[in-house]
Amino acid sequence: MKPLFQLTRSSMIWLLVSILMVMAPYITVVPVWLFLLALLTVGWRLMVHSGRWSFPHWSVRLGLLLLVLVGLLLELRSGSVMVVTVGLLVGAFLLKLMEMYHRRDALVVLYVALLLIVCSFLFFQSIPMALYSLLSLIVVTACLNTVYRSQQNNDVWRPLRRSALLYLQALPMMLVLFLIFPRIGPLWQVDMNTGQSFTGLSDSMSPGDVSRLTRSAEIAFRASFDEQLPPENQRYWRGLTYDRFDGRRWTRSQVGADRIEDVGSAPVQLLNGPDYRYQVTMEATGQPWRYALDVPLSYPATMRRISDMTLQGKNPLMQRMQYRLISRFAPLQESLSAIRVRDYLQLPEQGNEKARKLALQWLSESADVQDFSAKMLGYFATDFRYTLEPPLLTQGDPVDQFLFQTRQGFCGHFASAGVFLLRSAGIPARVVGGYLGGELNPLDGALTVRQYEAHAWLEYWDSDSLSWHRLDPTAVVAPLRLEQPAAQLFGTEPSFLADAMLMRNGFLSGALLKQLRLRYEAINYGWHRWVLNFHERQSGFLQQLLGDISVVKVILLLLVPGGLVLLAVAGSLFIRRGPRKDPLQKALQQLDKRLLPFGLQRRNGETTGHFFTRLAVSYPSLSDEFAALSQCYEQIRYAENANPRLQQHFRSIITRCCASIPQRKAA
Amino acid sequence: MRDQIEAVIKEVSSVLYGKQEEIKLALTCIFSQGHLLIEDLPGMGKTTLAHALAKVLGLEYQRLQFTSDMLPADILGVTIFDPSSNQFKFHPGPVFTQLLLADEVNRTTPKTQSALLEAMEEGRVSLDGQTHQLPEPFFVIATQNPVTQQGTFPLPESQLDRFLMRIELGYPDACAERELLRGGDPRERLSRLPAVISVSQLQQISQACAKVKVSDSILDYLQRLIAHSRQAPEFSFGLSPRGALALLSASRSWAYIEGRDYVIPEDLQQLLGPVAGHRLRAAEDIGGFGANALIQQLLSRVDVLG
Repeated sequence: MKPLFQLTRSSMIWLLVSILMVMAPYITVVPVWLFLLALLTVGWRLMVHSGRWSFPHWSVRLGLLLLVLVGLLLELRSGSVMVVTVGLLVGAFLLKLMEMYHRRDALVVLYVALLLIVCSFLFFQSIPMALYSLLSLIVVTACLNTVYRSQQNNDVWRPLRRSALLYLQALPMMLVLFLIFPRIGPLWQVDMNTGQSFTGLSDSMSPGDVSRLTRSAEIAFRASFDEQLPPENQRYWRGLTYDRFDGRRWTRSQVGADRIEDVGSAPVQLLNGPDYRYQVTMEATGQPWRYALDVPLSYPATMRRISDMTLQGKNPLMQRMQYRLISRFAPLQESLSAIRVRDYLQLPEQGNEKARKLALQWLSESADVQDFSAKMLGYFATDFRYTLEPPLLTQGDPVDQFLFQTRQGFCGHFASAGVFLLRSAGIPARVVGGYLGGELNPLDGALTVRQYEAHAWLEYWDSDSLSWHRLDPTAVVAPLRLEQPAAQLFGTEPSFLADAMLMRNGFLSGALLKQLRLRYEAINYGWHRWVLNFHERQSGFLQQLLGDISVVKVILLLLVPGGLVLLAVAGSLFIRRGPRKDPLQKALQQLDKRLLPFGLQRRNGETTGHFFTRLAVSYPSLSDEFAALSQCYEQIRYAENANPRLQQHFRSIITRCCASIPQRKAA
Repeated sequence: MRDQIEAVIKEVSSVLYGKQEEIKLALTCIFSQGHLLIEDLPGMGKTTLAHALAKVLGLEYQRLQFTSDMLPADILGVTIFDPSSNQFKFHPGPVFTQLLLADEVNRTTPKTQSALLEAMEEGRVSLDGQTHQLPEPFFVIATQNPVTQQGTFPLPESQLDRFLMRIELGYPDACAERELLRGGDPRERLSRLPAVISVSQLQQISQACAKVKVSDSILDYLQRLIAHSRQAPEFSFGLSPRGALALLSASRSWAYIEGRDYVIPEDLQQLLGPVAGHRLRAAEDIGGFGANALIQQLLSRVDVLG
């Protein structure tokens, strides 16, 4: 029977705490039955520890392993590959507990625990999670400490203190690495978003879609402006435009390569106005478009600006990202080609006849496009109601039904009907999807735009001035929407924030709660800006420091200080073996060094008295000096004579002796 | 007081030739108020040394020859009913003296050997429910034959530990031996030895010895020695704290005899053998011969300066 590795009591306690802490975040991620497995294995392990049970027979272990594998395979059918992979890791971690015979098995368990801590970042990246992970890390390290320590220590907290101290010591190094170590692109990427859905605008819109977003208080993006904020009624954040209408839904046309042409280099003519410089931190949408305030003039190279003046990323946005923009307000001038004019006039062949008729009637009555749009706004202003819960448009002609029957709608209804009317009258127009507003966080001056601020409006093309104009029917139906925070406006509507009751209550009551929420958001925003997405800033920082970033420079930057630190440590280790030597000792060593070639150095266990007597025999000419040295040393060291002259005397004699002893053995 | 010490050494040397070092060690032991064990072959002058010390130090002494049929009562004394006073009366044994010469202590049975235990450790004798205080000071100088001799009961470790030092006399050198042979019977001179110091002077010297300075470097060295004795595989067990205290106390007295008021490493090195030799045991030493040979090895392995 091989001797089993017996965990000490404190080791066992820390192991249990480690398992608990490492597993806790996974409770929402991995299948629940893995936690039953955790109970079983931990319980069994405890029984083994207390000596009541023995380790499970190999058949039991094999059975459990097979069960776990089968379970995970079944999970694979419903869940994502990532979750199952992590589940496999968790399962292995738990099963290993059942065969922890040696110290190295315990180490394997703890190393996997460390890996699991890292893996939890795949699912959670918030500040509390980061702090929690740090805590888990400290606990697991404490456990590692106890495993390496075979002696039973009664102080259970001692390893924790040691481990916390260890991480405290590592903190400066971590900060330095965080600041200067460039983020290396991942060698492999995990598609985390399989099966995950995003809240937000989509690439097709039926009139009711936007109001559905008001159920959610999720953050769409945040923007912090360098200088002044845009006025409240001008905070139109454009995301995408819809130009195709099938009678019920608006979609983006995929026709023509010019649709996604990069017009970034084309001259953009805008009215003079203030430039807004700002940074956007956009949440993942799973969509290619990026939000920008009205017309973006300058944007990162990773994006393209397409012909409708919206920004497109290269790929769907799967994780939070930051970018800097400079925007100015429309209208912007653009001469549309005939094909584009036709695109923007597209309507279904038939349907909504009453609306078409109304549009034609207005057209005949109005002198120009401006006049027409004024008429339309006037129409909306009279008898329409702005509501989050409009009646469903079930008939074949939804535009007609909205315009002439229900007359209740959300921004999407108005924008959709508005574009329909404009196009019926032969005016190129499009629906714009995006957000309107944004809550100012006074703590960091950033605007937070939430899903419930989603908005739809329209733009029409004036053939006289050859420019696009923004038209927001909501502005006339519910002018307050532009002036007030959406939260205030919709606060009383039952469906508003139906998915976020806590937020809703927070809005309705308690200034303190709001204050706390703002504080948390400010911190969180800073966290995303400065920590999670630091690599964007960092590259700038490195560039300032080094000029162009090259691999060689970065490596030098890392290796040179690192090497210097290591050299210093090695040097100090080399120089100071054992406790600091006192001057007397140093002087003696000096003498020893001089005597070494002759083999006369002080031997181990030889007292200074014997040593100097022996030397006096070897060097009769120096016998007086050696006698004095012996006396002196005895006085200082053993009689504890504190006279400082003695030390000086001692050292001077040593120097004299060293000078008198020839460097090399006389030939 | 140094003169008196020198006079003592001189007087003892006049009966034990060429054994200055051993005489000093014996005095060291007495100044440290410890008991002395002299181990050597018969006829090497063990008894002479003990005898001479007793006379020169002016101590009241008893000599007790241990034999294999000796009983504890022979040492400690007996309680006898006295018909005249109608009471039990305690008749003190030879142990009630200032200096007890326990000759050939390992020739008696363990039972009798252990009768000395309490006397040596506590300085008193408990008998028949009564405790009798021994005179002050109380020293035991025991002699023993090497355990390899016939008819010996080796002293157990616990009892050896009661002795501060164990010394060996060894053969005298040629010069001393010649003087001995020429000088005639030392026994006669022994009986004529004068008392050089009094008991109170002896106590004063003891107090002065205890005040000898021990610096931190000496304590460091002492601790290194102890630690090495405990860790080195050559020893089956290391030096006990009592042994360490004994070494320190003996070193002080030795330094005092050498005329210093501070201890130097040489003192420790000198006394490690006598003080620790009977307390240590080599790992391979089954018979309990002590570890004298290993002491030198220990000294050469442990650095003095650290």
